[in-house]
Amino acid sequence: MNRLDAERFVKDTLREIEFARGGDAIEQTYRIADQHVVIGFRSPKLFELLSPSIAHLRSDPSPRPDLRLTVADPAYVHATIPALPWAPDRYRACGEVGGYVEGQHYSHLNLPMSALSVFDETEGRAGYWCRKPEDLPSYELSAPFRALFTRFFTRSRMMPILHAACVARGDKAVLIIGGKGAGKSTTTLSCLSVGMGFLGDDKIVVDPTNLRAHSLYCPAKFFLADSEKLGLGNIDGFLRLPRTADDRKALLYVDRFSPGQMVAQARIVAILECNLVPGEQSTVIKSGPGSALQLLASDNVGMFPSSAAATLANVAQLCRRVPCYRLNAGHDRKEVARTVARFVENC
Amino acid sequence: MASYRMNSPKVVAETIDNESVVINLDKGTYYSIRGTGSELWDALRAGVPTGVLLTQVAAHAGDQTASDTATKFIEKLIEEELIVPDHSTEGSTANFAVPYSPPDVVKYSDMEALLLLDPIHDVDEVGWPVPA
Repeated sequence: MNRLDAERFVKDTLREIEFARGGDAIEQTYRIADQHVVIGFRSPKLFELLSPSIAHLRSDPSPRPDLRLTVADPAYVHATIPALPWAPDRYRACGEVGGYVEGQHYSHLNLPMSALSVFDETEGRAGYWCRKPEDLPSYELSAPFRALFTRFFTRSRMMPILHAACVARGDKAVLIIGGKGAGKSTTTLSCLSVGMGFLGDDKIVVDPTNLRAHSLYCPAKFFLADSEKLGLGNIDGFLRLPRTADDRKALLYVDRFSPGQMVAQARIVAILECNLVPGEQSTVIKSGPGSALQLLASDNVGMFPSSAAATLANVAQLCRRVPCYRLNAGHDRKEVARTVARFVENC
Repeated sequence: MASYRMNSPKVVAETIDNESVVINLDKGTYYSIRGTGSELWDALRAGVPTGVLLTQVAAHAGDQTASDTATKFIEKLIEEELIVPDHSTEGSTANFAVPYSPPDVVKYSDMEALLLLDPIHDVDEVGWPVPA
């Protein structure tokens, strides 16, 4: 195998994804965290699968986009992607490739999805090549292009994408953090049911300098068995059901279900560490920044090691500047939502 | 007297309010260090020589055995590859502001699965891994 260096591999791959023979691109502009991102979907299939999750951020075309991303698959674009130049022992489970992520030319291969992402940071151009769109799992449909967006926002714009939910009242937003099963998604959906604004239930772009939270993806995830308990009424027309046996959650496209509740950005007034407790009552109590830092660090920093230092520094800055609390969420979901709503109003 | 530095870039760390979070990206492990341990960590990162540190921590604790505890703490940091010897920078003294507590490192391995992958043995003709 001809081993290309990181720069040449990214440039050669990008050229193929962008210019190889094939279908015309469906080009859309999105305004994400005040950045203009142009995405050219050269695959109607990938457009159908991936674009709904960011549709709420569509904007007018920009003459000077901050990032230009081209998306393609072999069914529509006859690209000759260079042979992967790295040795098999370079893979990390998170998809980054040792030796191909350290400089300005970034490569990421998601093995389960057969999806290759490349990013030329010097030119603000990126490519996403998916060999089998039909196999994309729900987590990619709900949060597409995560590796590229993480690299772009965290390293180039110093705005990490955090594993957190975010709800708002007016311009005041709270980040809801917690590990798997901590109740973030359930709490967020419950907050929808009492009329709060929604920025996201799993991934939020955070600007620690200006203390702003920015929406990135509009779907909310939930277990189908819980749909009755959510108290959201008829949501059938706004769902995407799990696609594979491994997928356990359905997606609710909040931008279509309740467009008025989608919030593009808001001021972060607090961090709430979500914690499920027995009983009906829910409470919010003050906690320290150290606990939030530890949780956010363990939950976010390892996902994309090449952005780890920037992510950790930004998370620490956020925790230093924003008051941190613990949300003890009881069984009564409406009460959880009312507790959060009251808390935000009083911040 | 030995001096150390944080083992960057494979180790990243931040400290808030005497709580340090230290992450070893190669191993997928992270560590929580609090109180006096956090102050020791910050001093080690700043290049304060261990001899100075051990004297200072014993004085701060009002107990000579505190230097033995601190020595074990430093050995643990070395064993976990969080710090490495370095003589290029040298801080002068540590700043102990919080009441003494025996320094300790709490290790977590939650992130290992994100970083450590089963070895890939088979790739196809263009280098894409073949599913097992």
